[in-house]
Parts: sequence; structure tokens; C-alpha cells
Amino acid sequence: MFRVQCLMAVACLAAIGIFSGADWWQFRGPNGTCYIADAKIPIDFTDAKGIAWKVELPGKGPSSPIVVGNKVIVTCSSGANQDQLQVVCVDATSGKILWQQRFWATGSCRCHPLSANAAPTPTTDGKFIYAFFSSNDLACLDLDGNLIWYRGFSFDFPKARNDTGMSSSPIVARGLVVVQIESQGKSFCAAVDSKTGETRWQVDRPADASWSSPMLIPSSPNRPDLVLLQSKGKSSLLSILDGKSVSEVEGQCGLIPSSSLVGDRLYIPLDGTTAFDLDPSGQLKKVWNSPRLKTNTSSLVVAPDQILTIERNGVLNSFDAISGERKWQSRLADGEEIQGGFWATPIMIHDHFYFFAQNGQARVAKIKADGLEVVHKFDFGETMLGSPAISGDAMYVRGDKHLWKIANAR
Amino acid sequence: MSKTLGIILAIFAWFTIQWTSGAKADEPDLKAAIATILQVDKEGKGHEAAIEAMQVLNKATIAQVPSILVGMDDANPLAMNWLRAAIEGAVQRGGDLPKSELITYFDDRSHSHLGRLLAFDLLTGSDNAWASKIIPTLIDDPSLPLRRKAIDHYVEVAAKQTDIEAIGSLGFALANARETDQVTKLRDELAKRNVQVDLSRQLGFLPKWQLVGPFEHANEANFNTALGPEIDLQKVDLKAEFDGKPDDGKPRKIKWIAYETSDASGVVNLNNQIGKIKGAIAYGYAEFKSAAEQNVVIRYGCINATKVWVNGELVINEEVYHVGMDPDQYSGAVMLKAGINQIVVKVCQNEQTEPWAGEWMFQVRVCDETGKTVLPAAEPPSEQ
Repeated sequence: MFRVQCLMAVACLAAIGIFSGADWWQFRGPNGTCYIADAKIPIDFTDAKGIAWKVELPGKGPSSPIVVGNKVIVTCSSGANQDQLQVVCVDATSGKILWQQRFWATGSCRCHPLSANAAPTPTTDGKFIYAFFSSNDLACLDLDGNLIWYRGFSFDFPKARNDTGMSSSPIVARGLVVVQIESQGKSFCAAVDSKTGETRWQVDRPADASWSSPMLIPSSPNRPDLVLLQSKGKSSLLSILDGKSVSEVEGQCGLIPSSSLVGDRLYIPLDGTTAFDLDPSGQLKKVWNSPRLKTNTSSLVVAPDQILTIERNGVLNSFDAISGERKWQSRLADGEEIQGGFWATPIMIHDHFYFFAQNGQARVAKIKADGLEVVHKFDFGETMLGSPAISGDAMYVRGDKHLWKIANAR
Repeated sequence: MSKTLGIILAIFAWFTIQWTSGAKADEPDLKAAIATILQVDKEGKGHEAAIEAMQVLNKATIAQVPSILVGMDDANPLAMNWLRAAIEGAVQRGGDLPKSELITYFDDRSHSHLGRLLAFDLLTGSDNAWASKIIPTLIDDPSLPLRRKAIDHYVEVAAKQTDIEAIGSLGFALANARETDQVTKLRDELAKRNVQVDLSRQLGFLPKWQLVGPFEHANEANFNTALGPEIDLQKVDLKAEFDGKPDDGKPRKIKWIAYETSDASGVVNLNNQIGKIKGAIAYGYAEFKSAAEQNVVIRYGCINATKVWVNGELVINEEVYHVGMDPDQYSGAVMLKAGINQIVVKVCQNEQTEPWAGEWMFQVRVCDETGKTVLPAAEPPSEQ
């Protein structure tokens, strides 16, 4: 009887997602806040301590790692034309590469030399991996690396391309994988069946470039799951079930940074940043707007009491999460070491801020009431554009050549 | 005791069945599965059956890799990836690579270019000596990724040779190079040895143009409006005069001007020839004399919204502004007629105000389907 109760308890925990809570299944993790309250990540990591392993990658990419169970998944691309696509699975404990899958891009591989075809972050529903690329190739693999299906959206629609590269990361929910493919030539958002890869719906979007990623807004009793899209001139909420528009707000929408969600409050890079409360029917009610709360490329970090941003040039800002008023601004004192600036969205773990510069320079800073204090520096020594992933007490950081696990020794 | 034995036997039987029926794909099943994958097409067509077929292919053994590679001969780019995944999986499950069959497959240049590239990668991974022997022979391979390896090889060889020997190696590589980055690299390597290569001619850029503009394009309104010479593309009149975009509200008459670019990459900079004008359209006209009727590919780079016609037929149509430019950014296949062929480009500049949005330019080259330069008939014979 006791064993039955234990099994039932395990089943219940799994059903409410407790087991998956330690995972990092998509770009910027759950809800896109990039804030973790309780992970025990080393602050003063060096090659000698606090780095559990480092593994060589077969290609480069600004995409972030994701973590499902004990597997770290990362996408890469390589080749003279960036047409070699790779999905790599690494054992989280040992750092051993468990499997790799490789594909040939079926769409345009052109992108800015700094970027790569492997710009979008893959996602997972815990059973399958959905790896998406700038060439608009989408591969569904099981957790052992077996291909389930493969789509090429630019093979379907050749004008769906952006010659500076695309980077929007997919989301998966309700048995649908949603991709946002917005470019001047052909622009749309599509949902494909996660089991078959067949298109369930596809809606046209503004014919202009957007590099931001769709965001899932979980359902409430009165509304279905929604997908938030940022496009030129507007931000839209669509029903994930059929792609129909639920609500829309116009304004100057950020086309690179993505939105964040805390409860029913949305922070959208719109006219700077605008905070909205979502009502039960899916309508957006503006709470505040802060034109100064603006980021170039990285997205917001949303902690319970404050919102943090880092600009490309290393200027850090803290805004009050309730009012949107700026609390403090700080510039990195060692900015001269940070060549190329910051692209990746930082991570805040409790009261420490981890940020990663294009040239591989990482900084850990303690957040204080009136600013921050850099408490640790580390040079990863290679181009670093992707945001890290957190799982349990480990942080996974990827550069153009390597993947690192930052964690204390057990 | 007998119950325990029964359970053990049942487990043994289950494993036996799994091993014999499910652990590997039988050859007829494999062929049927490949045939099913070949039906995959755009927008998820054929997925349901293909997903079933992958159940078989995902159990393929390494010995079956050559059969799957042969299947690639008839595969579209999507199906290629389904089959490639099956091969990658089979190789990672382990076993002895069927080297002899793979080499036979690789040596037959009629097979899929990408399939042969994959075979090369598999063979190279297990036998560096084979790779070292085979790479120099790939200099004229129809698979351009394989040919790239040979070009790189000859550059490496040249680095260890005397100047005279190196010039021979690099010249040989140049005659066979097809991709612009490699041709440019070879030009640079030869220049270090005091041999000058006309890059523009080597890559087949068209330097001589007639240009006319600016026409009105405020609010990006006229991309699909026929203006000036576009009104009758069959009879381009180089003596015609047109109403151009008003100049500060005053009428502006515009005429064709002759221009020959000296840029090594054939770039025609309209800001210099027409003027730094926003919300404007310019047309370019060039003639290409072909010795005979022949299929060619127009390779085109343009940082502005653009159209290209050959003998009045629209071959490129891209309403895209300021997302970069490179020589082979766009391409369109066309049949040239013997004699003079007329090429018209329409280059639309919008009114974006960002500092990087000021460029107004294009470049055109003519190649065969592999990227080999096709020069006009009037030019001296090429060494290619």
C-alpha cells in the first residue's frame, strides 16, 4: 500500500511539472525572465574550480543550450557557407557527447559573419527536441537523436529569408511547435503538429524583419494558451490552437529582444518597455510604459523587485518592476576589456548577475541597492553570443567552439 | 521454481523476437522505407508515411549505409536530410564501416553530390590516408563542397613550394575554382607572387553598363510599377529621355549614361553615378553576346529591392531592402540566345534613414550551373 502511495505521489509530482522544473527547455528558460531564485551556481569559477567540464563543439552558433533530464542539447552550424547543421547531445554529468545529428540546410544560409545558422535556440517538450535554424530548417528528434521528421520552411517558401540571418527561437505547447519567420520577402507564423511536422495553421505577419522569439502565455480558465509575437509596428497575441488574433497593441516594437512573463504580467519591448496585465479574455491592459527601459539586443532580466538590462556598450540599468522607474544606472569600469559589447541576455541568480560579452569576457556582479559590484571576472576566450541555461545547480554556457558546465564539484 | 523458469524463458523469447524482428532493418523493408522517404515534399507532404518509414530507417545498420546513400540520388533536399539522419544514426550505433562499398559509391561521380560528400566524410573519419590520396583528385569534382577541399589542398601545397612551383599550383586551382571566396583567395595568393589576376573577368562580372535614373520611388511605391525603360523591355531605347524624380519639386529630365565599373567585384555604385538620392529607382542595361544558344545562371548581388530581366523575361524579383549584399546573393537560370542578349536591372532605393541604409548598388555575373564563368563571345578564349 505504501508503495502504491509513493508511486501515486511520484505521478502527481511529474504531472505538475516538479521534475521538469529543474530543466531548461527553451530560449531564456521558463517564462523568459532569466531570473533564478535558488540555484547554487559558483560565483568565482575558474579553470581550476567551479567548471565541471568543457566540451568541444563541432560548429559555432549564438543559440543557447537547453537541458532536458540529464541531457544538454546544443545546436551548431559549420561549413564554408554555414550549411552544415548539427544537433549535439551532451551528458550533463560527464560532459561526454552522447550523440550528434547532422543535416544540410535547405534554405538561405546567409547571415552576418558574427552570427551563424545555428542562431535560434532549440526547444523540447521533454520527449522530443525541436531544433530550428536561421535557414528555417526544423528537425524533430527523439532524446536518443533519432529523426522523427524534418521541415524546411525556406524550401517551402524561398523568399522566407533574411540575409543578415534569422534568430527567432521556436516554442512548443499543446502538441504544436510554433515558429515565427518574419522577413521582408515572406513573413509568417506557423504551427506544426509536434508529432508529424504537418502544418496545423499558418498566418501572415508584417513583411519586415524580426529576430525576436515567440513567447507562450499559458492558458487560464477563460482563454487558451496564447502566443505573443513581436513584429514591426505591433505586438500580437494569437491563440495557439488556430493562430487567430486575440489582441494586438501598436507601437515601436523591439525586433531583437523578446518579452518576459511573470504571472499575468507581461513585459514587452514596446516603445521602450511596456508592462501589461493580461485579463481573463486575453486583452492587454497597460500598467506602465518606460521609454528609457530599452535594450539593443539582449532581453530583459525580470526579478521580483527589479528589471535589469545590459546595453551593447556595457551600460547596466535597474528599473523598478512595479513602477517602471529607473533605480540606478552603472557602466562597467573595465569596459575597455569588453570588445564587441554584449549580445547575450544575462542571468540573475538570487542577488548575483552573470553577464557574458561577445569576446568571451564574463562578469559576475553582486546587485546592491544603488548599483552593482563586479565580484568576479573570467575570460572564456572565444566569441560568446548565446545566453546560458540553468538546470539544478549548474549553468551551461556556450561559445563558438565550446560548451562549459559551471557547477561546484559534488 | 517452474514459475521462475517460465518467466526467464518468456523474457528470453521476448528479447529473441525483438532482436530478430526489430533490431535491424531487413533489406526489402529498407528499400521500401527509402522509397517512402523520397515522397516527402513541401509543407509536410508525405510525413505520415515517412514517420513510419523512419521506424525502419532508424534501425538501419552500418552495413546498410551504402544502400541509403544510393537512395539519395533521387531525393529532394528535404528527403536528403531524412536519409542523412538514418545514416548518421546507423554510423553512431557502431560496427565496421563498409569501406569498399563506400569507396565504390564515392568514385561514381554520377551519384548525389551531397551523398558523395557524406560518404567522403565517413571514409575520412576512418582513414586519413585515403583522404590524403583522394583529395587532390577532387579538383574537377562536380560536387562543389568536394572540389573546395581540393582547392584548399593546392593552396596548402603552394605554401610549401618555390614561387614558380606555387604559381603553377595556384593557377591550376584557379582554373578549377568555382566559389567566389576561393577565387578571391587564389587571386591574393598569386598577387603575393607577383601574378596579377583580373578578378572581375575571372568571376565573369559585367563591367559595362548604361544607367538611367533617378525615377520616383517615394514611399517604396514603384517597385511593381513599370517606369522608363521597363515600359517596353523588348525595345530598350538608349537614346530615350524620361521624366525622372522631381528635383526639389522641379521637373527633371533624365537620359542614359554609359558607365564602366573598375571595381574588382563588378560593383556598380549608383550613389556615385546617379547621386545619393533616397526614394529613387535606377535602371541598368547591359548586353551580353553569346556565341550560341546556351543555359546560364545570372548571379546577382544587390543591397536594394530589385528586379532583373534577360531579353524581357523576369529572372530575379526581390523586394528586400538593406540586408546585405554578396556576388551570388540571388540567382536565376536563363536560356541565352545566340547573339546579343539584353540584361536590364531595376534597383530601388528606399527612404530608410539609418547610416547603413544609404547604399545603392548592384553587381551581376554570368555563370554555368556550377558557377563556372561564362564570358561574352567577343572576349578572348578563357583558360578555364
